[in-house]
Amino acid sequence: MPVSRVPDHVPREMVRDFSLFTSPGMQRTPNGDPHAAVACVHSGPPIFYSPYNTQDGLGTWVITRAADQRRVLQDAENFSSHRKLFSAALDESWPTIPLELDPPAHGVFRSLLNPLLSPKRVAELEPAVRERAVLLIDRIAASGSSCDVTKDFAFPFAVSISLRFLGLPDDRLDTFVRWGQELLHGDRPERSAAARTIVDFIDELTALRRKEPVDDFISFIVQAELEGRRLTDEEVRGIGVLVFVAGLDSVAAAIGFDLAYLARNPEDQELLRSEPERIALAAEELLRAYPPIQMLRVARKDIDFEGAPIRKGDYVSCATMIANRDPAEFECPNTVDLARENNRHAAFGYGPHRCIGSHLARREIVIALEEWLARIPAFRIKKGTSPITYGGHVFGIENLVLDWS
Amino acid sequence: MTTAAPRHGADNGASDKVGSAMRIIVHNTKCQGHARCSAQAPEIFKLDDEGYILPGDIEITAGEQLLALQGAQSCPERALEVDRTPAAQREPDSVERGPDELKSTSVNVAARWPG
Repeated sequence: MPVSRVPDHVPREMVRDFSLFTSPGMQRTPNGDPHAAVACVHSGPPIFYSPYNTQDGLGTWVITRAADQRRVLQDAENFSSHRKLFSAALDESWPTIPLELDPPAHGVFRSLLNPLLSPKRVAELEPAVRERAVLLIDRIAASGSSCDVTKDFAFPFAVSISLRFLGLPDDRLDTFVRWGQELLHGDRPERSAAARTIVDFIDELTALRRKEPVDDFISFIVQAELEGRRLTDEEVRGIGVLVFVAGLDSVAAAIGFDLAYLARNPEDQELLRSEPERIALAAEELLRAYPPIQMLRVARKDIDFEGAPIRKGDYVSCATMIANRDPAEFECPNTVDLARENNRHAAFGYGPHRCIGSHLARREIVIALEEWLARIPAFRIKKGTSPITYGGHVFGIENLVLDWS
Repeated sequence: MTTAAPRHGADNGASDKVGSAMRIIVHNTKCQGHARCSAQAPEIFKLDDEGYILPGDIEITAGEQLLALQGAQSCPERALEVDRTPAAQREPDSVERGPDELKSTSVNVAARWPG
C-alpha cells in the first residue's frame, strides 16, 4: 500500500487497503461480481481511509454505513459537492450543474430542471421509451437466439432515450458511447481528450441553439431565465455536459447487471416473466443490489466523524454499492430478494443532489425488463463466454452474451 | 406546527379511535423528490410540479393506514414521520381545547386541523 499518499492527519490505523478502483474484483474481471466484492467492508469499521480511491488516484475517506452516508450526503453545509471532477480532466475549474453546486445556488438550478424530469413528465415520456425498447428487442429476437445484450440493447436503448431528451439524433450514438467510456474508464490522456471533445460538442450545440432555438433541452436552457437573467455560456455548458454524460452509461450499466442476474437465476427470471406485475418491485431490489455509482464529497471544514479526523479539503466517498449492502439497514444484504419491501436503497443517492434523472432511470429499467422478458424466452449466459465486470467511479459490465436457443 | 392539507371532506377521520389515529408529519426540508411515497400511494402523497411533496401534514383515514404507512416507510430521506397520537392528545395549535376534549376518544380531525 502506498502509504506516502496518506495525509499526516490520518491515523495510520484508519488506513485500509481498499479501493473501488484497484481492490480484487474492481479491475476487469471475467464473471466478476464487483458489488459483492465491496460488501466485504462491512466486516470492518464504519469509516476508514483509502489511499487510492478516485480516478486520479487520490485518497478518500470511505463511509460504509447507509445511515452515515445519509448524514454526509444530507449535510451540504459540511460536505460540499463542488469537486469539479469533469473540468479537472481539462485542468479547468467550472462546475457541472447542478451536481457540483452547493446550496443555495444549487436549488435555483435544480428548480429550473426538476420539472423536466419529474414523475409526471416521465410518465408522459413512457410511451416513447417503451416504443424504443420494443423496436430494439424485436430486432434482436428476429435476428437469432443470442446477442451481446449490453452492446445490442442496454446501451442503444438507454443512450437513445437520453439523446432524445437532449434533442439529439441517434446516428452518432456509438460515438457518444465511446466518448463516455473514455471519459469514465480511460487513462488520464484519454479522459482529457474525451472531456475536451464533449465540451466542444456541447459548446457548439449551444451556439447553434442560441442562434436558432428548436424544441429541445439545450434550447430550453439557453432561453431560460434565472432570477431575471439568461444563463451564462459556462452555466449552459455545466448543465449540458452533466446531462449528456449522465445519460451515457449508468442506466445501461444497471440494465446490464440486472439481466446478468436474471440470466444466472432462472427461477427469478421465470417468476418475473410469468408475473410481470412483480417487475417494478423487483427493479428496486436490483437497484439495491447492483447500483453503479459512487458519490464523492469534499469536507468544507474540519469535522470529527465517528472517530475519524476529517480535515477541510478531504474527499469523502459514499459508494451506493456499499450503503446498499449494509446489514444494519438491509436484512441479508447479500441476498437478492425480488419481493423485498421497504427497500430504501441508496442507488440514487441521498440529500439535495439526489439523482435528478432517477424517475426516468427507474422507468427505463422497469420497461427494459418488462419488454425483454415478454419478448425473449428463457435466457442464460452463452456457454463458453464470460461477461467482464469492473468497478471504478461507475461500475460496469460488458461482453454479456445471452443465449435463448 | 404545520397544519394538515384538507384532502378529504369534513368527515375525514370521524371514525378515528384512540390507537387507530394516524397522521403523517411531513418534514418538507428533508424531502429530496425521490417520490417513493407517491409511487406507493399517489392519492395520499401529492407532489408539486418539481416532484417534491406538498407542504402540510397529512391526516390518514382508517382505510388508508396501511398504504400511508408503506408510503412513509419508503422514504429514503426519512422525511415522513408516522404519528399515531390521537388528534385530541396532540399539542394544541390554533384550536383551543378544554380538558374534557383532551380525553375525547373520538374526534373530528378535519375540524381540529384546518387547512
